[in-house]
Amino acid sequence: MGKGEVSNRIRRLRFDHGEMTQQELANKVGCTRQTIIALEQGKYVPSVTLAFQIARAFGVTVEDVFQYEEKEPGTIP
Amino acid sequence: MTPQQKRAWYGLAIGIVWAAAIVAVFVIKGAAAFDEDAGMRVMVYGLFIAGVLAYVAMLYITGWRMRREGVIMDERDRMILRKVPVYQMFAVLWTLAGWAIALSEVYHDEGQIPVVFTWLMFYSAIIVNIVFASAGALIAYWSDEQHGQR
Repeated sequence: MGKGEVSNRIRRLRFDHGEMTQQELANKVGCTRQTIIALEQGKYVPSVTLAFQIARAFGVTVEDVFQYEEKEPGTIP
Repeated sequence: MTPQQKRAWYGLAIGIVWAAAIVAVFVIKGAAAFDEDAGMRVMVYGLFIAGVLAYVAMLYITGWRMRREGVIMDERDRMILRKVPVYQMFAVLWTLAGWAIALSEVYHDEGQIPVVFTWLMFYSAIIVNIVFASAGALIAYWSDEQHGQR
């Protein structure tokens, strides 16, 4: 099985939810704004718990927020 | 900057001032005076204890303020801070290696080292360990911001 990559639509979802700020989302899910920034930049993959909390904050499913893309072994990202 | 990073900066500032003060005493008085001059020993012990107390006070005060303001330490903070002991360990090992090389070179012909250096090695290992509790956190945050989880 190749190494996968997790991407997310948090920035888009924040925009769709009345231009929710990063701080507002952080407050809703109980993390720091810096964690939201790292998530949006794709530098941090959250725990399952935080992923569910973020999805719940937007009223959508986890799959609507996070996408897992598997890369074939040997492919260059 | 996360609250934990701010705390690490405070700790690093205290650590640098603390280490600089102790080094300054040894530079001014000379390492050999530590054995002979009781006043110098008291000054070094005083600085050493004052530094530890200042660091603990900083941890207590910032911790109390963070709790009062409801500041969160989240899962990413915890993941980043788990790397800190590795930086501390390497910093202490490099410090001891530095001492071993320097003392071996300087006192090679005598075949023995003055007793004072065993204490200085101990103090420096403690100081470096405490300084790198903060410096390591800052390095870990910087590394995470640069490279993420890769």
